[in-house]
Formats: sequence, structure tokens, C-alpha cells
Amino acid sequence: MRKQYLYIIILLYIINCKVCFSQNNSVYLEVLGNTGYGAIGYERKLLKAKNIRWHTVIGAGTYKLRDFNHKLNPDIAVPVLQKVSFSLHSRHSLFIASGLMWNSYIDAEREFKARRHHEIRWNNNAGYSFDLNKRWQFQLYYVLIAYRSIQHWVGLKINFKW
Amino acid sequence: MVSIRRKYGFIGLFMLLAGFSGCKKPEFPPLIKILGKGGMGNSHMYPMNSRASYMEALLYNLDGVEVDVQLTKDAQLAAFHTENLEGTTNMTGRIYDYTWEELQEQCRYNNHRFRSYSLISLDEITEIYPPGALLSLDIKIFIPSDEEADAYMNAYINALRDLYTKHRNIMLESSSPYYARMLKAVNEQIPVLLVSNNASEGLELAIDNELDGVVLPDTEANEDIMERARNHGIMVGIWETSKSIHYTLDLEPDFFQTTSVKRFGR
Repeated sequence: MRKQYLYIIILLYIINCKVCFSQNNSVYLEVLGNTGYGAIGYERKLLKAKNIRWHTVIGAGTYKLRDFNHKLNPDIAVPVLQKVSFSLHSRHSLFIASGLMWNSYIDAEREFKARRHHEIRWNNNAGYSFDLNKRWQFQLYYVLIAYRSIQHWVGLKINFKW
Repeated sequence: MVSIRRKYGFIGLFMLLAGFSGCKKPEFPPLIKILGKGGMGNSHMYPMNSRASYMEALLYNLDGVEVDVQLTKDAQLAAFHTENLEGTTNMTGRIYDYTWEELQEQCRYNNHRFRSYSLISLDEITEIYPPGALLSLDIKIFIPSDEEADAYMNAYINALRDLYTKHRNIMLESSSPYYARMLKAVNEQIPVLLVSNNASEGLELAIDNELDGVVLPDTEANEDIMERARNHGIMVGIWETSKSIHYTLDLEPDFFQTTSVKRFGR
């Protein structure tokens, strides 16, 4: 049974690579956005049909590197989202994205013990993107994060495409 | 072209150096007690009144901390600032609607950009802070209903009496002259100060109600107020908002509650 799952994962990975290798990539710098205060990440265009594009997005961000004891114990946030964009014009488009974010951070326990907490949050984005040229793209978007309660935020992304 | 680059390079370097010089630690007379507001203050990496915030503040070796105090349903004292839990935490209602165990297990600050930090009780604060550290307790009184008012206040006062046995260096703050007098009557040895956003009015009320002092925002404090307070033997505490720290420290208040503890670390 486990082997069957493994074969399916490998097959999906190969199909994904076949699709991906022929498509566009970009790296980005995110200000505020999904992880809170900033992140770097990678976007890959998977499919294009008329004026609709499907991207997969993975990022990584940190808020602080040291805990309350001043020991190296970084916060880590890794959002993984699927994004669909709709081209309005040659340089303008609107997009929506949804996915999960793994959030790992340190909180204090009694007697100065640092305890790492892990959460999976549901991230959603909706925004506008502008292609300055073939290389540079800017994205401005609203962020809705659901975990225990709903939180609203904004983000700005600068993408470098190749 | 090269000269323009040099010109802007010098301007950039000057601004960088000016920025660094502006970050130097403020000098202040040793008699002024420096307290972290709600732990590390709100300009730090943790929400105010969170456990991590109080624990980190301890590492800076300050004179003490200011703590916003509220009563729980099971008569425990918890550190929390606002009347309602919604907005800053994942829960709704008031602190008094829950037991400390419920708050400890479920309540998390949610406004600190997608990280969740736990609350801290006054028992924990007295456990971790050395006996000589000054705990300035801002007593938040939110009466649940007229019927419960007496039971609420009795439970609050008993919890404070219990706290006095656990920590010796305590000072109380209240924004109501009525409750400030009530708190003073519980134990004459514990200084009680009136919190006010209006310096003149606050000072008059503190004098009229025979309180030990007044706590003001830095925007309200000035030399005239300090002189009047000294003439009446009244303590003055100032909490940091937006005014120049150097101006505030030059006034030589009895204590200064800072929202950025790092600058005063010893």
C-alpha cells in the first residue's frame, strides 16, 4: 500500500516537472504579505489557457532570529499557495491565490523554557499585478489568514522573471 | 558623474552616521526608576503583557515592570491591557469570563503578525522577578454587573492581599480616584498612584484623595507639574508615548515607563 502511494507521488512529480520545465519562473521579494513582515520566494507558471494562468508559489520568511532568552531560535513561516491570474491587458492582471502556511515560532513556558509551536494557517490572497517589462513584475494584494480567527493584512511583491 | 556620485556618497554616509548617533542610549539620573511597560513594551517582537515579553524584559536588568492587572473568574490575577479580549486575542468577552486555566490553555494574542503568544499570570511574574524588582500594577477594574460588584471587588482585594505576601516591592496604579482610595485602604504601606491623561486634573485629584502620586503620559508632563508635585510630596511617574525621551528624563520623574526597554538595558 505504501509503495503504491510512493509510485503515485513520483508519477505526479514527473508530470509536474514535465509541465514546469517548459514554463516561466520567477523569484520574489515580499514586503509584509503572507508571512507577516517579509519573505523571499519562488513562483512558477504551470499552465496558461487564453488569458488565465496558473502558478504555484512557495516562500520563506522569518520575524525574529533569537528567542526571549536571546538564543538563536528563529521563527520560520513557509507559505505554499496556488495562484490563478487573469490578464486584463498586456501588462495588467488580477489574481487570487489560496494555500497553507506552516508557521513555526517560539513562545515562553514557565521557568524560562522556550517551546516551539507549529501551526498550519490558511492563507488567501487577492490582488493586482503589473508587468513593468519582461523581467520585472509588481504585485499589490490583500491577505486574509484564517487560524483560530480571521486576520486581514496587505502585501507587496517584486518579482524577477526568467 | 564621479563628483555627483561622491557628493551623494558623502550625503549618504552623513545620514548613516547621524542615524547611528541618534540610536545611542539615553543618559538618565540613576534615581529615576526605569520600568518596562507591559514587559518589553509595544515596540518589541512580542505583544505587551505576554509571557515572553516579561521574560525577555528581565534580561535587561531594569528596576522593574509595569503590569496591567485583571481579575479572572477563579480570582486569579492575569496581565492583560484592554477590557475585551476580542481584537487582540482569539477569544471574546472579558478576562473575568474565564478561569486562569481556560485562559492559559486557549487564549493567545493574535495581533502579532500571525504568531500566537500566551498570557501570563501575576503569580508567574512574582515567581520570575527578583523580590527587589518593582512591580507597578495598573489595576484594571471592570465591574461585570451591579449584582456581582461586591463579590468582584472582594475577590480582587483578596487576590491582591495574597500577592502582597509573594512580592514585597509593589506599587499600585488606578485611573479612578474612588478605587484608588479603596486600594489604599487595603494596605497603607503600598503606594497607590492615580493614572491620568490630564496632568493638572490628575495632580489635584491625587492631592485631594491623599494618594501617593500621579502617573502621566510624557505629553502632559512639564516642569510646572513636576514642581507642584514635589511641593506636595507627590510621586510622579511618566509613561512614554511620543515625546522626546531626553526631555522627559530631564524632568527627573520618580519613574519612567518605557515602551522600548532595549535602550535602557543595564
